[in-house]
Amino acid sequence: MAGQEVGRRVAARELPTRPFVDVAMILFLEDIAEKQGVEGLVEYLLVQGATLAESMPAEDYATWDDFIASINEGRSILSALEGMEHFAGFVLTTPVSPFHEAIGTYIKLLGDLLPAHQESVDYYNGRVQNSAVESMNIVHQAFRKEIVKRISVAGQPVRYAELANKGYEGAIVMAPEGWLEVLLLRAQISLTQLQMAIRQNSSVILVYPPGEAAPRGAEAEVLAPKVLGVTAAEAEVEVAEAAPPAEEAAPPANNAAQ
Amino acid sequence: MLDLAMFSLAADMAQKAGVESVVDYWVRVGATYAQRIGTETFVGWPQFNIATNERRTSLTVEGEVRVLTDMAITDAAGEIIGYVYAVVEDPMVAVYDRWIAIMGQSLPPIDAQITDWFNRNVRPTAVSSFDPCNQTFREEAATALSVGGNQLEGLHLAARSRLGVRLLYEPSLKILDLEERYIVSLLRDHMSVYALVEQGKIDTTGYVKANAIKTRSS
Repeated sequence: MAGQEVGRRVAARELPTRPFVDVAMILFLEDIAEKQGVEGLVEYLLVQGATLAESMPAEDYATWDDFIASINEGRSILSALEGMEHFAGFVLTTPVSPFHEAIGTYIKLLGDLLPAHQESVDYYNGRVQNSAVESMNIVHQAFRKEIVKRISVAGQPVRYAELANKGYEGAIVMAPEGWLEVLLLRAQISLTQLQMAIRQNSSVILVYPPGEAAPRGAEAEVLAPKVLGVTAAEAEVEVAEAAPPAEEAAPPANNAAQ
Repeated sequence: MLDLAMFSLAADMAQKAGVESVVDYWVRVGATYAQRIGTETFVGWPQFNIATNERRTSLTVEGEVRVLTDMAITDAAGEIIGYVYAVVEDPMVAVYDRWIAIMGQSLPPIDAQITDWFNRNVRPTAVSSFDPCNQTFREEAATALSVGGNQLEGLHLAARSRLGVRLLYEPSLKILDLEERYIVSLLRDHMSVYALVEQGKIDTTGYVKANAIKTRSS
């Protein structure tokens, strides 16, 4: 293998990336936005993330501790692409976004990102899920949403929600206020701890096993009437998958990941 | 993650608009990439070659490029009008390695479909699905370079795939009067070979540019 010491076994997550290719990929996405509009770009990003996740093999862990060990060692399909770590409670963090090297290279070589990126963030936050701080979060979150469906602990699929994301320029987007309280309860961390986590990391997510003791009644009571308009039982499922859109708008009809 | 997700994006796009559409996008991206990096000018070939060795030119963005100083290209009067350059590692090798190691499976079919489409319909020079972009990038970036006041052009010569398939591009070997065996020997330690020459100093009739798809579809 060129570029590596012959015969040396290299862990998958240590394999080098090529920012040249990643920058080309960002340009590819910009070209889609130019030809098909921001809506088309968001749709492609969602499909891209979901399809990538669907290509990965399923995982089953005997215990939660086994799953966390796999996350920390980069063996799980959830952490294989981004070097995740367990923070506390049911919170996982990504120290460095897997997209920031590419964004940095793009800026170094080509200048500012085109407005299509921010437009796609606004569209996604308003119409799909209010949790993106940069366009790459869209593909990332679509990937996570699908990938957790492929991970089970003791036969039960794990659940996930975005808690906070920090962009390349340092901007932070946290889960909406109405949801944050519920998500933090589920995560078993405080707001201060979440702020500590996002200061040191690019992304903070909640991943938890179904059936884990938590104030479910309170959670559903908060969610159902305010946000989702669904039953308490449905709300409990939804909280694991998505934060609400910033605007109360119908999701786009062509959103394949919904 | 973006590099691995490119395959699912390409597969989705091919399903909706055909493989040709994906190639068209890649070719356009290669051109945009080079154009946005912008023009560069060098006093002479020695300065340009030093910059190449130090990875300071637009063409070294893709990785290490070696200047083959024993491969100077001269005009009828014996003046140097260009050189042959060799890329050490195809940028897609790392992507392929990551896909296989992380996804735990062979490459998705869309990769070969894009490569084959380009080879059949544009020119037989691609060894990866990224080559329509990469080779367009080199040719466009070359035209944005000037050495000694002369604008350059890039001629693709040969490429070797991750699995060892070698594709030599006959028209450019003929134009530059290069021996096939020499180019083959370069492919042992390099994965892509191209020439940069001063524009207008050689007859490039018969050379098909990587962006020829654009010409045909427009």
